[in-house]
Amino acid sequence: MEKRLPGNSNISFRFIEGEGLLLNLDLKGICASSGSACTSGSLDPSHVLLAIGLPHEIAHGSLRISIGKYNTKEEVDYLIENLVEIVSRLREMSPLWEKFIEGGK
Amino acid sequence: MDYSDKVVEHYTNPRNVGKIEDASGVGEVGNPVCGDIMKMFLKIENNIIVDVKFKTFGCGAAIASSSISTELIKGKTIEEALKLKNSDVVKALDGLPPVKLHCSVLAEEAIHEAIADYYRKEGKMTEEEIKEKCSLKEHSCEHCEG
Repeated sequence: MEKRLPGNSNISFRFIEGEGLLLNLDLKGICASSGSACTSGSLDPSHVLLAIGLPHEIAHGSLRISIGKYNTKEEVDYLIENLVEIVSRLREMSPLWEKFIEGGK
Repeated sequence: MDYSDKVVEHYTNPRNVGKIEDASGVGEVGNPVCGDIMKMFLKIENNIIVDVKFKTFGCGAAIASSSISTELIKGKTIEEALKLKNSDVVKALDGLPPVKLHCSVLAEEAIHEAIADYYRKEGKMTEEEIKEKCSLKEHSCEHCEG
């Protein structure tokens, strides 16, 4: 991992969809993406995530966060705080989450 | 994505989110490959949709389409609800981007499936009659075909 960009991570939240997540983050003033810039505008999930074997519903829930040298610790805390709330809210709305909770799979 | 204010308002504050435990009919459409799954719960009394709730896995347009559809059919008769077209959903949302029109189709299909489920439970019609009355179609979209 020596040659990896350190300020960038791609996290998938199961049972929710990426765009819904992004829109809600945007409303909180947080800019993120669900995939690479070279596939922006595409509605399909990341071909990289599919290629490493993730199922569609997980690849659809990807969130790509990039932080730079000017971001502060407070901003990261603000992101985490809002992310927890948004993910919980979208899961409450998700039929896949309901299935998971009820079926325990 | 260029969404109307109405779409933004509905995905920010979706109406009628949740489930109905003793639902008269439940309809689920879409699949993870398309990226959208919509589940509609109906409570029907004397041919009237007295309550409706939804759960949706999907983008902002999918959430907004489900939300506004529940508002459009609540208090209506089954026949009125079956007449709701995806174009009515788009109109009520002040438009959807062309690539998101399938979300409104999904909302229409979810309502039809939920009503079909109600008729199946009622047991008065044959499957053929239900299919015709609720105009059930096989799901097809560009993602699944590809």
